[in-house]
Amino acid sequence: MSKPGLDTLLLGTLEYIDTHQAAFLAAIQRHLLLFVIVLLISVAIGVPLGMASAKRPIFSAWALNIFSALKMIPSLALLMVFIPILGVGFLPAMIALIVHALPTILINTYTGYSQIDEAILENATAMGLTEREILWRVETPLALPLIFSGLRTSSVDIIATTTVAAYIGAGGLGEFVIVGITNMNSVIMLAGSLTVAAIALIVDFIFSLLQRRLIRYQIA
Amino acid sequence: MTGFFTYATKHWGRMLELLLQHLEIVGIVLGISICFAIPIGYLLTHSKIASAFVIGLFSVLYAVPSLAMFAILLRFTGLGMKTAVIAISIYAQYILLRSVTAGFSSVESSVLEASRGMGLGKAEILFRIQFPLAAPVFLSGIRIATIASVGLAAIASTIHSGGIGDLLFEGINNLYPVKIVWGVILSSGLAFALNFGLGKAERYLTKRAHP
Amino acid sequence: MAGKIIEIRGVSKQFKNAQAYAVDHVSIDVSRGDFITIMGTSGSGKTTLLKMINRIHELTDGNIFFEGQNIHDLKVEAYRKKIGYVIQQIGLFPHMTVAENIAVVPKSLHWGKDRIAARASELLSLVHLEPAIYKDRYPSQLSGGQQQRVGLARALAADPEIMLMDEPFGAIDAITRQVLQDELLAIHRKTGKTVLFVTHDLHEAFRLGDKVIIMNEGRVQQYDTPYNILFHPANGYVAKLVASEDIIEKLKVLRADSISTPVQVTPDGRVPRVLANAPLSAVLGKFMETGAPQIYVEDAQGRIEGSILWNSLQSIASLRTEGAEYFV
Repeated sequence: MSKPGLDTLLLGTLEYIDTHQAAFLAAIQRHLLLFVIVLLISVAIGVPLGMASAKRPIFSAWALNIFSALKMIPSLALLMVFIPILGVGFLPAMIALIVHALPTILINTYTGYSQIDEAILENATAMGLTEREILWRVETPLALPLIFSGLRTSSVDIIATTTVAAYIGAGGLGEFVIVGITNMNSVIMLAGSLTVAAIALIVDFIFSLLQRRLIRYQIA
Repeated sequence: MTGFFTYATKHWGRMLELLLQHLEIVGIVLGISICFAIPIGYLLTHSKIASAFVIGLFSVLYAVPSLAMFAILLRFTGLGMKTAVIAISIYAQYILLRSVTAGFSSVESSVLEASRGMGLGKAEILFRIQFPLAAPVFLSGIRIATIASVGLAAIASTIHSGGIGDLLFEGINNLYPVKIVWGVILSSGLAFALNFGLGKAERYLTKRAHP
Repeated sequence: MAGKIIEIRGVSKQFKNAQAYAVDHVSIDVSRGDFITIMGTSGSGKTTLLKMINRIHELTDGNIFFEGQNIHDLKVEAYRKKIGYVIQQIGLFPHMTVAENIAVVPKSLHWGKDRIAARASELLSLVHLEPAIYKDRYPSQLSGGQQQRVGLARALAADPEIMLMDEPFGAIDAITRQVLQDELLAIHRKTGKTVLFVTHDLHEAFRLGDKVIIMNEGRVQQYDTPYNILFHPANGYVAKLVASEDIIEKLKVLRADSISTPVQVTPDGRVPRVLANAPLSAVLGKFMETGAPQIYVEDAQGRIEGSILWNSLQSIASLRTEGAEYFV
């Protein structure tokens, strides 16, 4: 593998991206598409389920155990496990990613709701608020920081695992990284890596800004 | 179905070898990371600014997708286990630094004040008071970092670090589902086993800290 | 110089980024064996002053001498081991048994195992916790009052010369607090240790202290016996502080032994008796109950140590507080 200087390498990377704009953009789009779909579905399933588990202890016991176990399965294993059944491509990747991201969101939601001080809830009931009012005006605002931090962690994780999902034909920026590694081509490798790293950092940063706004709103 | 079991009987040697390689990577990563995280974490408890800065720095590194991290480091440290260990250690370091600082913070200030006022030296306080009380939180972080490392090490096989990931990639490249299944079982099994063992240690230390 | 265990000379403390002095040029001498209470509102500097004695806070200005040595020249940890330190939140080590908690400083001083075990039992008995039952308990299994007793035992473990106590009974319920105060006085009497006790409670300060330091805004307003503070306040602040006390309240916080004249007699069954640490209000009650002209003051063992005449009590009660003209 040739080892050009760092600056020439970076220039080469930019050149590469420039000459392969169409493919690059398509990869970014595919990557973001997977990210957004997986996040939305995971939230749609995970948040209500997490909230429900917090309210019903019987449900929560086994739900937590199952999802904690799922969380421990290596992401690569999850990506590959559906191949015998679903083959390769977008669909198995999406399913695997959802199974990977769901536990974090669900568990964070569960913890968010269950860590609320009993005394606060008692107080709210004593004040005469209905169950619905308590849920939306008291519990959810208090659970939100934890739910949000779960979203933030999950998002970064989804983007990272989506990169690996290129191995099972899902497309995305991971393809460039893989091609680069296989062919020992630093330029292609960096084109993929730096871009996906940048995306992950931007998403993380956006979430951290939102978190700060959320906390400010909470204290106020 | 029978292919599933015959594979194991034929190739259990290699499977064991890959498993041990995987463990080696995880072991080295945790070893290095803990050795750094505990002293650095202890020092960081003395300055809120330094703490925010260092942990903030690692949180940025933590956000970098692992495959990208491996690829970027390749340029500097080449293919193989060394790169994998360095990259995974960065992720582990973030998790451990956070749990070490949280662990030290979990010791009540009244306990620390009493021990200072009694005339115990810094080293005495660290080893006889802080460590035993912070240990459960440390171990919780170690457990999480270990499981994360198992997952990351599987991905690292793409940069020729060895480990169970090899089985998974061979399975998909050669269209050999049995290998995939065994790869899933072994890697998940390893994660579960380590989680169980470290969970037990965590519970034991928790009981010792707060009988 | 002999008999002065602590000398505080022109000591000040200014915290970083603070304009005002937390402690402002304080000079105090503490005699060996005294029970000194330091009283003030929050922010008066009382706790800061205490914590400068064991160097938790370093001095901005001035010097403190312990047994004649400048504390700055002493190795701080060795120095602190000569001081018993008790804080409000107690701070027992949750992962150690009661016996192990008490053993911490002796162990650090390399005492032998047997000596430590004996000392732990001795101290647990002193604080009225049955050693056999309590020595292997954990702090989480104890009530607040029990925890603070252990805290006290732990502070006494290495037999320090002096005890620094920072609102030790502040987090305890009122009934237990009363009991602990009495026990502390008994321990003080028995061991003869010097005690510096910080409190925001006027009654506690006067009830416990041989002498009281009244602090406000970092300065010592008065350092004197409870009797003198109550009846000869040094300035307007102190006068106002004690003015809210009517005569019954004042009698409540003075001890019988603070106004008794020492006598040496054999007990006469007809003369009523009160304990030395009984409040004057109880003495008054006794006078009213019995109609006697004289009451004996006895110690814990029943020996007569002093006597109070009704006339003396009456003249004290009728004493107009000096400085009453300081306020409207």
